[in-house]
Amino acid sequence: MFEKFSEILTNRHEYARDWKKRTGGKVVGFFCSYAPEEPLKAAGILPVRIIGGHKSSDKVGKYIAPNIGCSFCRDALGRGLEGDYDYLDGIVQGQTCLHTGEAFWVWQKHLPVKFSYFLAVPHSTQTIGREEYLAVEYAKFKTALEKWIGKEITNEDLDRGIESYNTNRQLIRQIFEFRQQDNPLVTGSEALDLALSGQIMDRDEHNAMMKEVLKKLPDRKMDRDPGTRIMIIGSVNTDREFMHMVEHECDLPATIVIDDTCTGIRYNFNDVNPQEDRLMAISLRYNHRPPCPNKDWPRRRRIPFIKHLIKTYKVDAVILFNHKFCQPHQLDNAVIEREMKAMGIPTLTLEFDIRIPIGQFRTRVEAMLETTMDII
Amino acid sequence: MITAGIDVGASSTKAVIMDGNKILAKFRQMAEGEEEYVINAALHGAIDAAGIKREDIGKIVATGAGAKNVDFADDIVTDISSGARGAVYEVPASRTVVDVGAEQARAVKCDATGKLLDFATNERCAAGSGAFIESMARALQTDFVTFIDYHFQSDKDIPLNAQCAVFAESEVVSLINSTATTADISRAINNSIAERTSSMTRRVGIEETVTAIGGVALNKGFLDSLQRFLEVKVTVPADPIFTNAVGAALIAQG
Amino acid sequence: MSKYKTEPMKLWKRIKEFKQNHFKEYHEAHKNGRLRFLGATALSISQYTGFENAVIMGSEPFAANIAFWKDFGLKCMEECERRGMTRELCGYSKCVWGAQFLNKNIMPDGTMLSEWGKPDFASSFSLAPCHCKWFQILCENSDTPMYLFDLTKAYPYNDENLIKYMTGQMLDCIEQAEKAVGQPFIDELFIKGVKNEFKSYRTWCDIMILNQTIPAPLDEKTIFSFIVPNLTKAYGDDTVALMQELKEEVQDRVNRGIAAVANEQFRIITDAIPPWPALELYRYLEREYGGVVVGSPYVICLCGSWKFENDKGDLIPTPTPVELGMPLTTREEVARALVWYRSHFSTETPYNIACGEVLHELTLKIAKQWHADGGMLHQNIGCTMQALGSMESRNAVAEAGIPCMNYEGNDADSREIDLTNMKRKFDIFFEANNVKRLTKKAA
Repeated sequence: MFEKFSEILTNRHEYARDWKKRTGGKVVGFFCSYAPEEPLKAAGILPVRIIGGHKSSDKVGKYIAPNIGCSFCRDALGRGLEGDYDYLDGIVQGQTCLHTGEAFWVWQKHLPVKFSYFLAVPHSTQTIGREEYLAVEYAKFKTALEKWIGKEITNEDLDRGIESYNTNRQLIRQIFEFRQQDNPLVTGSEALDLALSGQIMDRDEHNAMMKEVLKKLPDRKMDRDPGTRIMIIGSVNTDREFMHMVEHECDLPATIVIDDTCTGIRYNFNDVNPQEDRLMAISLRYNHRPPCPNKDWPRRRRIPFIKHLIKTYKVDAVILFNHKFCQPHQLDNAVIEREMKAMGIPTLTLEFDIRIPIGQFRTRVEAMLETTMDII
Repeated sequence: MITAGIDVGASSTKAVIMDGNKILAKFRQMAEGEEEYVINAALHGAIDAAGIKREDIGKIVATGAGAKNVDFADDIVTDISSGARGAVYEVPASRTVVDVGAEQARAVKCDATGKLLDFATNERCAAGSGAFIESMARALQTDFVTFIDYHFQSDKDIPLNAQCAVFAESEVVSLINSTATTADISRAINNSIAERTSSMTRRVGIEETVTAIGGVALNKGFLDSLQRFLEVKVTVPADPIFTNAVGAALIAQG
Repeated sequence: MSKYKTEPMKLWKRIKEFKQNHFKEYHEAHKNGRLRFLGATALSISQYTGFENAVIMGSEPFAANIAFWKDFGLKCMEECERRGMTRELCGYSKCVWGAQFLNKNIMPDGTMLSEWGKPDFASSFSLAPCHCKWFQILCENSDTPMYLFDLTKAYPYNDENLIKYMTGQMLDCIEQAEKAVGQPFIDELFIKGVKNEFKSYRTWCDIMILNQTIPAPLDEKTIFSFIVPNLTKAYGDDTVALMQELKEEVQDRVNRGIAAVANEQFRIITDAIPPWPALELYRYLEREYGGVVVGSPYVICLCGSWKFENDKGDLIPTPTPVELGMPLTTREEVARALVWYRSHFSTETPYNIACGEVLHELTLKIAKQWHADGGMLHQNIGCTMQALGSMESRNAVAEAGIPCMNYEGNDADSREIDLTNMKRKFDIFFEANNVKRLTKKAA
């Protein structure tokens, strides 16, 4: 049912090249999910998230030291340096962590593109004045885009961008809801491919595909034991091999029922509420979305959000998914672990590198499943 | 003038005696026993092979990780300088020298006289190049020669975690327990060290001719991998283990 | 026979005492009926000068002092690790969390304290995002009221949107602090403090420019001791006077050709916070090679404010708001002027987060303007923000024909510092650049 999403995700570079050929449009890569895609869509541009290929590259070490740079960003930059993204017309960074920032600067300097823009998103999405600040930054961004594409981006264009993305997020949430059932109708692997393929596809095309799925999904019969209901908490999860291992290769049954990651519900949780000032409406969406740890201060909004998901999706156990050298998530994990312990939810922390030792990870996941299933 | 170059490495000490530009003798003493004994044995091994007397040597220059322990050395130089000088002597066109030893890896950019222009060394967490290959060969229950043969029996590129030797080691263990063949794993191990070496070399820039020296340069499997990563041909001198000692003896010549 | 004349800095002892006294004032504040404010240096401490009884401590010198006393520093690291903090996290954060968990601290002279020094109000700003996470955890654990500022992208400077956003936060912070400590904020004191800060900072820039002289009148290890007054008390009348005296003494050294290192033969720039537990490496460079570290984006920008002349030209001191005649009579005007001044290359803004796109250019300018023969850039694993841009800085400096290397280290964690290998790498570097060793053999 989700094969087409998986297929496009696997062949994402071919998809983007084909899209360019079909539409004659421009493709812009973005690093962090805080990059505003709605104005890009409004400008007729295809925004694609720059992700790694789970392949190391010997070309990265000259720019980012392997003993400090996060594995996801090194992988993503590596794919750029290896030429996988040679179809990009531009790049955009919506400011978050140091690592994505550095990957952007290196890319801008060494892989020149026609358009590059570093958008100053507030570090905290709780500060006074951050909504107005971001709306003004969007206005500057919009002007820069207009200059590049050589035409004005009208309110109608923005409305189209907003509508397409709102629909997309709503459809993803609708499909995700089927994961709340006792026997989830969507596996975690499928959900990841669904949400992640959205980040690299034309959203209108993605929406059409999701609508087809929703016609059939309520009648889907799952012939698998859902087993332990797992939640993944982390940053950007693109590790499909890992997801597949947890749900299909362990000796004990398990299903990943939800996540707090920016390739899952965190990114798709809220919409742009239309208002006259379109850029302010978009600013509110990005400021109010469930935060990544980088942006979650001084108060902790992540913890209640995670607890809400645990309840709604009936989570039995949590995997803390941490990219090697991703300090923001490491900073939150000790607190999350403590909170989970208080709720009686077992946690397993796994450190992901560009490639993972799958056998070792399997042993550790199985050990956790043994405890949740009361086998030991 | 007759000079000697002593390269005190992690797994062996190498001594070379030269008269002007001519190599008179080479001797390698494995690092077994006290370091002082190993160093002296290397020097005297070379002296005997050259058929000269100790007093005939006008100047001795030591190099390598343990250079400062060579009490009788007149001078010491780093293995970066000796490696570049030695490589340019042996392969005059060398402009980039890659030195992979048991414990450390280095990349050097130099000019036609062997003078250093830039260099890079491995990060701490990526240490243990040659030693890593050896211990992995043991984990595969093969000897060094068979390990290299295995490399060429595979055409699969199974990626290993290229960051950290400890992590890579656990991956190798996982691979041994999986369906991968010994040949595939041998190739994966060489690929992994070659990729790290290539990454380091790219920091100084790749200028041909690229010459590989040090013990690991004898591993033809590693060289095969390195050439693929660097995307250029890599030349190896006849006796790459001695290149640093040759360089030190040449530096002693002045 | 030495190449240059040298003599110790006359102000050395007084500046050391200044630091000791300031730490003493902070730790004894409650005993003396005063308030403790702990905040990240730069943008988040000067506003507290409006509180009459404030003793203000900069969180970075506070942390660096712990890191410098490496045995205590190590205990702090280990205490954090016992509580689930990973080894890769920010070194400074772990120093202060550790002190908090152990409820102990250490004075600059090494005297142990039986209390860590909980502030009455704390603040930080998002120089690196983890700077605010540092204080989030610190304040949660000690139930301290806090205000965390957001500094977004600071380059290109003079950005009205950023200045407005940050000024709004500063004014809000003042109101929140007033409520939290229950004392009135006095605008006159604030205005005076900020004007003093402009003077102290501007003087620092002059002192740094004097270090462009050959031979350098100051070496970076000595400069590390001189940064503290500006970092933690730039608003004080005593600091303004001290910086002026320092400038005069350095000027006098320049006039008389007095060198920091008698055998200066190779001028070096570095880039980041040094490995505090291993400062002896600086003496190694000097003793063995006559290698003098003459500056870095770290010490030059840390206690001053700089900009590129005419866009991408030389690095020059940012004219102060007083020099520019900006209105400075109300709280709002002063807050705005302070934000404006500090959102140039000031404190650690040049690093990855705020000005990542130009850090390498700034580093190269410093190498050129301070007449560096080479660069030895610290790959500071204890600070992601600094370590991330370091490779590109190296590439830029090396490509401009100034030999440059990175060395791996840690600003706070002595376990991550491999001094033997560091020295080995320095030896190679000097050898590669034909710098003659001054001693006969390796140490």
